[in-house]
Amino acid sequence: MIEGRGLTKIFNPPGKNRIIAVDGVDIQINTGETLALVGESGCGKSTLSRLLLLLIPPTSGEVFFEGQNLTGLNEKKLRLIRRKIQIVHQQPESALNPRWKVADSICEPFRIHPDALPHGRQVGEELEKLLGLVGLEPEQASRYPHQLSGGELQRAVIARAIALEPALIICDEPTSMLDVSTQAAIVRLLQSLQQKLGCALLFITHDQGLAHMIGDRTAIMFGGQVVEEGKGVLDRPLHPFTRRITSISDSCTLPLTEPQGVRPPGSCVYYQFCPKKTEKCLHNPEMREYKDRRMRCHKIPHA
Amino acid sequence: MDTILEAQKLHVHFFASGNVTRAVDGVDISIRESETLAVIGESGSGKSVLGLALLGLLPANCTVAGIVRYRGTDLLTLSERELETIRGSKLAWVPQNPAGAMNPSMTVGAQIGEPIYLHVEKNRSIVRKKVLELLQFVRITPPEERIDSYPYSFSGGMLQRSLVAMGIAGLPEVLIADEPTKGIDIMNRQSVSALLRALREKGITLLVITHDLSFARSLADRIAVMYSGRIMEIREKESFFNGPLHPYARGMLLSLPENGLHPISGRTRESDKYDGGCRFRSRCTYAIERCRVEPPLITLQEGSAVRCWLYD
Repeated sequence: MIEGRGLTKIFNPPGKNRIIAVDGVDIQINTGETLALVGESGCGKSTLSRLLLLLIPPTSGEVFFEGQNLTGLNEKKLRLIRRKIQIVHQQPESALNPRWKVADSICEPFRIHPDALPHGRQVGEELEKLLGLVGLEPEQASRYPHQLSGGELQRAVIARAIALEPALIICDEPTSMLDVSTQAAIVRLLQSLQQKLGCALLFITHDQGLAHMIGDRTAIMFGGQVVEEGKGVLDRPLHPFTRRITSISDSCTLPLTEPQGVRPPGSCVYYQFCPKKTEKCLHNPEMREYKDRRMRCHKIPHA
Repeated sequence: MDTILEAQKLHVHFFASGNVTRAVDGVDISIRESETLAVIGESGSGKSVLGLALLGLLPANCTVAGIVRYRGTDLLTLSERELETIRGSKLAWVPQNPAGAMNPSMTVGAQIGEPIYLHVEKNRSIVRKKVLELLQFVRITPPEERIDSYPYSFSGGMLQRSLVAMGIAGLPEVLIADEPTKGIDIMNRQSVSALLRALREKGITLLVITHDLSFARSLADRIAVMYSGRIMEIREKESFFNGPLHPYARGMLLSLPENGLHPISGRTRESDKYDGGCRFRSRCTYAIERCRVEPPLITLQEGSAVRCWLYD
């Protein structure tokens, strides 16, 4: 349904070294499925999600949505596409306008796309339906964002995201600021909405336990590249980085590995950290297809 | 072991637009010397307010009642001036939200050096040397380059570690850390965890406020569960994670992804609509008639207790 091909984003801050935030990523999400995207802070997860929406222009690469190439479309045409792709941010506190009542924020999509309102329906009726879907009281929607808790705000943000019945919801660490019981409630809510509305989810997280629970497929990102992607990558990790993060699980006891030396230009993104690097790894491996996954690594186990 | 810091019948009530919010509502807790106690609970349960109350750092729009005792001295009766000799030097605080906790217009080094200058050492060049040592200790390298940087140039994990450095700069006996792993990834979480463990090995008493259960499990000696302004359960770590007693604590463990991600039904009862019964009653699957009366904290053995009629 949505596909990114060779997506690359390079930031050139003035007076500083250029940063390759996303480096040649191919990503594909099918209708109704959940892709979990896992990686540490700064690996380019959020930049990738912005590229998919073309909120920032890619340095190179293309985005296709339902067969249509989005790169190069003008803002007016993009706006029509964006109805179908919604985003839920990490910090619900800053995702809503603090000077609007929560209900006004939830109904904003209908002001931008008046034709999206089903024929003969009032905004108020839609609001009631949306609040029911996400489990908020009408009384809570008449308050301002600072008067709600993080979990309630995240429900409001989700209500806004599903207002236009999108085909894809990008969830950018939607629960990393919430406590465990609220997290469980929000994730269950997203899953039940996905069943009701049939939308696809791109679930960005740094919690592998959560990725494991929610993802049909999992993509592991490191240093701007997807290094491993497939159905059971967290159960049977093959890439050294995936192995490393899955071996930490929740023990918190492994010592940190410090990067060794600098990354030679053109080498594998995991070169400085990899315990199994060889001379071959000085050349960045291509993404290769295996039986149940895609992976970038020269040290191919016999799969 | 001796008790180093304790609270008795501690209440913190906020008054806003005619309502009373009982953020901390009758907390009894004692922290033993050199132990690590993790306070866990959902957002809004009063964990952070409890931490601030122990340090006397609450804003003026609230009332604090009860006793907070540090080595026998009641901190709530001290004047602000007397309190300042203890706060920062004996008891220190690591705030949450590292990005907002630092002064954006002061260098990180100057901020870490402040408690040293106030409580330990007046010679600026010695202060600077100590700050460099602290930066090295919290693994912000190379310290000589980083000491004069401003907070905006630090990553979230580095800021969190700088805050820990600032917390321990005055050589405190007790460090209270508020959500030190909130919103940071697994690698950074590991480094914060390793750092706190190193402090623990130095004999510093730690009170860690968190909702990250695996972090609490890896670090703490004892776990205290807070819900709606009250301590619901306080137990040794191993026995708690092997079998939590309070229904809320059980629900919290079941809501972890690895345990099946089962949310606790219902919503947090707002603490200003308190009706005298057990605070978890409306969400509890075990609730019985008796729960209309709030249970006391029932002591099971030395240092472990639970607030639930199931264990009476």
